[in-house]
Amino acid sequence: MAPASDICLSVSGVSKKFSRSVKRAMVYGAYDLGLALLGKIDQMFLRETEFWALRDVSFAVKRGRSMGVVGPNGSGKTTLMRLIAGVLAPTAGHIRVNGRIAPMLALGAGFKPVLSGRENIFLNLSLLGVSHREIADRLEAIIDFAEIGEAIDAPTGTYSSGMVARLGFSCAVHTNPQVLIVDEVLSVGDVKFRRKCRNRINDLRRAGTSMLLVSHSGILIQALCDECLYLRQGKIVVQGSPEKVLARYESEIMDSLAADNAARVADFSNLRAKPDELGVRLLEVRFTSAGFAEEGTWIAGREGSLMVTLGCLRAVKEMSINVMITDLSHQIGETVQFMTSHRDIGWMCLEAGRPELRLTFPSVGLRPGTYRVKISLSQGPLHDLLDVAEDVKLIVQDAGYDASCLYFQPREWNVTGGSVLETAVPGRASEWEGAEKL
Amino acid sequence: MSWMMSVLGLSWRLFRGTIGARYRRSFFGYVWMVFPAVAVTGGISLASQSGVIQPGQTSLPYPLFVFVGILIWQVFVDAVDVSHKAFDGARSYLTKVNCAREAIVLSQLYETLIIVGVRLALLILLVTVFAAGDWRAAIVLTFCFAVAVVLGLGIGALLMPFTVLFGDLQHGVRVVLTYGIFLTPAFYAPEGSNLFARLIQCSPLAPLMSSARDAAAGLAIAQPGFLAVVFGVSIIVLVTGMLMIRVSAPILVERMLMGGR
Repeated sequence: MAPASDICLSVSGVSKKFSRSVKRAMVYGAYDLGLALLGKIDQMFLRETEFWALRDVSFAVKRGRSMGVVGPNGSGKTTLMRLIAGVLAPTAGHIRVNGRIAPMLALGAGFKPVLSGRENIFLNLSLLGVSHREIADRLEAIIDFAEIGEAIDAPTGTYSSGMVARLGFSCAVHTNPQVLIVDEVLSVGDVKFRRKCRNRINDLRRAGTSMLLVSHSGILIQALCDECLYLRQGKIVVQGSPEKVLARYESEIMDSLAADNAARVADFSNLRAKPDELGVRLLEVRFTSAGFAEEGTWIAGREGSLMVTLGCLRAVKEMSINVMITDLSHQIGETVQFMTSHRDIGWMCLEAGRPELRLTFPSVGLRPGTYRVKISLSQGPLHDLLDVAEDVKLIVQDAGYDASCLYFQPREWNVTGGSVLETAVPGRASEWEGAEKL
Repeated sequence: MSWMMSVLGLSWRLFRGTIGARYRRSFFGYVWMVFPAVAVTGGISLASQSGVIQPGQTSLPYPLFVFVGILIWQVFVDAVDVSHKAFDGARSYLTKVNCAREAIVLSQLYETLIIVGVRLALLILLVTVFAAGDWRAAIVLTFCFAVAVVLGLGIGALLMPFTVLFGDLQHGVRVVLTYGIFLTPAFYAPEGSNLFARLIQCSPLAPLMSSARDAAAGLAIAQPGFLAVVFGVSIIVLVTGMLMIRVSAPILVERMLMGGR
């Protein structure tokens, strides 16, 4: 157990409840206010429409250490950060913070558009608890860091959103915090500024600032955090080294997505059995991987196929099938692939019946993760839409080769004048035929 | 002590920010602080001259009599608004950072105090020129304005959590603040013992208005006891109101996050 003075942030037995109904929340608010005025705080039961956003969460962060927080949307991560930042009060439990917090949930809090950037720096930092003299001392550094230049004396209303974000970030990191709360904000500005932000956070870390990082990116958490906790439905599922926690988190995400995907595929064939008046419908969409039984899954580096079954009431001319793949794991929302059959192979002419189309990737280059696939059927040069299947989920699994990269590079090694000793790599699927040649 | 200092410091900087923001968009900032009262006074005086309004016996020239009443009422109304305005205006950052909530109310109060100051200065000037204004009248007027601010601030602070939570209540309060002036002796000094006259005489603002008018006319204050009672009650209301703000702030911030009123 670390000495108490070494603990920068301690969260013990914290619970927080919210109401799902706004109207009821207001009524409960008035009721709670009455209770609070009478000095009563017995609220550990749930009233109608209420739920626990956080339930009995405890952890501690030592000085200079960093803690990553992962969890699906709605698991209570943001509520936890708000409680730690002191914006909300916990329903039960205690939070102790030793020192000043820089909550990066609040980039540019209190900025007024008619005031100049300089005046807004004073306003924002005062709200974050920095004294006037300290602000004056750091003013130049803040302006330099934000790269605002001469616009610092113009009203912030005239700034671009990127400039406001840069100024907000610059203010937050110049508060000399003891605890830094970072909630997916490392994506401020252009690449150069992002690098600067990252380095500034590292500088603060080296100077002994503790950090709490909320992110969907396992890579980021693994790179920046000493410890990690996994929240699900307001409770801590597992807490410990980032490797251990992320493995659990990612496997659970995969499981739930795979189940979801199977249900969707099944749903699809039921729902889309009736061809409508347009004459063509998507009947079934399947992802298959060579030598792998589970549908909806591809394996990075191995052959993967997309099978589409159509229902055509009559013959169709000039048809194209378009596939858009969107990243859900790494660069969330980023389109990583867009393919149209008419550009690749020309227009399709299909006969009435149930034609099948197959798109094969000889070697899947997508990196392991989850993707959203949108498949559309279009006709003619103006691409009249015939049918669309949105939100089909595709999971790409790792074949056991480290995949901290932007895309999976199929590769082959050759050694001449020497030999290679085969070593067992945990997680590598050696039973797959031809696994050595990806 | 250091908490006090930080609250004062933060409120001052918030105030400078807001006041700067406000008057940068306005060329006649100070005019708008007194224009409504002047306009209403003008209208009421015309009505009185044409015999529509029978104000009864007044110790001051009637326009000045009305002006004193309206200004005290306006000061009271502005003070009632302080807490609600402060919390409503700070929504964007109350939900993001944990700052001293008292500072937000204080900074809004400074803004109101400037308006009160401008009105008071104008009134003292007018009383000195057109009535028996002297240093004693100035002191009494200042005291009456101060009590109106304290009473309004206290009532506003007590109401604020509920007006922030329930939009309906805020509309109700606005109606009372718009038409409530007719339940005070702002335009007339009813005498006798009919119900309406009694109601108006018992208004907590009545001793403030009458004392201010007495002082402006160079007379002795007619109801020093009532004035003292109102002052005492105002202080109690203010202290309770500040306690209310302290207790309610976390509950309100949580509801603000939900986007509700």
